[in-house]
Amino acid sequence: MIRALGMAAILLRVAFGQAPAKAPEFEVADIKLSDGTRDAKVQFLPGGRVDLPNVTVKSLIMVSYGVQENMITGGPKWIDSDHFDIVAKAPPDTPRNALRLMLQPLLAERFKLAIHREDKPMPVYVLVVAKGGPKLQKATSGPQQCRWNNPGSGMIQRECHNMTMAELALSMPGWAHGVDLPVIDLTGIEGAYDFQFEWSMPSGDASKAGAPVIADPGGSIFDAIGQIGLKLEQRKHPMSVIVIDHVERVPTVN
Amino acid sequence: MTEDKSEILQGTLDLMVLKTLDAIGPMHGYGIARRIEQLSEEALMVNQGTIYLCLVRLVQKRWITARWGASENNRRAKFYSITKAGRKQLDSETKNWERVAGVIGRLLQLSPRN
Repeated sequence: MIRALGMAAILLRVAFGQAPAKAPEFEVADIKLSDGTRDAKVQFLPGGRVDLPNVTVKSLIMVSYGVQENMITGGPKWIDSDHFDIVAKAPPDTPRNALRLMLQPLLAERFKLAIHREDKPMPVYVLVVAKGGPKLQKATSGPQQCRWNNPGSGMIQRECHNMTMAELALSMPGWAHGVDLPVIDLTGIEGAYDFQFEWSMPSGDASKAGAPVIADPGGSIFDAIGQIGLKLEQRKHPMSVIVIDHVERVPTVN
Repeated sequence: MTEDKSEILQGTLDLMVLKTLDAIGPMHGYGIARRIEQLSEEALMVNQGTIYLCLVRLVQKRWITARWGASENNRRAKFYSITKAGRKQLDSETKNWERVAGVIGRLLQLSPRN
């Protein structure tokens, strides 16, 4: 009954042009400087509880806004070096994904974090058609799926069915060590396709002192994508970055 | 029990990162996060931020190392690699998972009368 009245109140406010209700916030949140004894973690627990030991403001922005490190610009150096232990509580029936988003108003209220988004040219890979045109087979039927095959001789093969070029671009950064940037599909190819291509696995043992990070000796994924008539090129592309306008080092008390 | 469940999820994420680096070789944080996002879907609620913290944790435990290297087009980028200690941890965790899976598998095969 009370919830229904609350919802009605929100609808009335919206209908009469009043400011929309605030985003959900934690009921209580304790923030203190960390002594660094606990492992850095993000723990969204059932019952609306959140436990974030040994975290930085930068990592909180990454978690709450779902962005990678280089998509955050501005801000003082301490956002990456000051560590905090945060314990917070939301209503018990709060979904776990909502808990993640509630970190945004927490940052705004307690650290006075103010941000805005702007498009900035960032290094990305673009997926384009290679000289000679694409070598793709129109998808026959069945679900979209990919699998790893082991053709031997230190090679790894990725076989995909019913996949669009946009989906391929989105997936590629997780497939091989060299694709360390977002991939944007600029092939202009519509529809879904079946394809496979293979490349060699990198070698090098990081546990050996002075071991270099070496590229795939027998052909990288960048060479291999040519097998299906496509190419990866590094370019600058407008990406939505977070710009920190203001943040305060000492969080306000609860 | 609630904290145990969260520890299990964090441990699962650690295991997935170690396995990724063991299987693919040295990798940039962005690629690790994309791979695990694809594999785990919503189950582990991972994003770039949670993987970033996982990488910080694994470096502190010396199960992985971080090294600056040259990416494609000679761009400077940080790559993570699994260490000898990390491989040991991965072997131990994998054996543990296989043991648990074996027990559950046998339990599920039991008929109602057993």
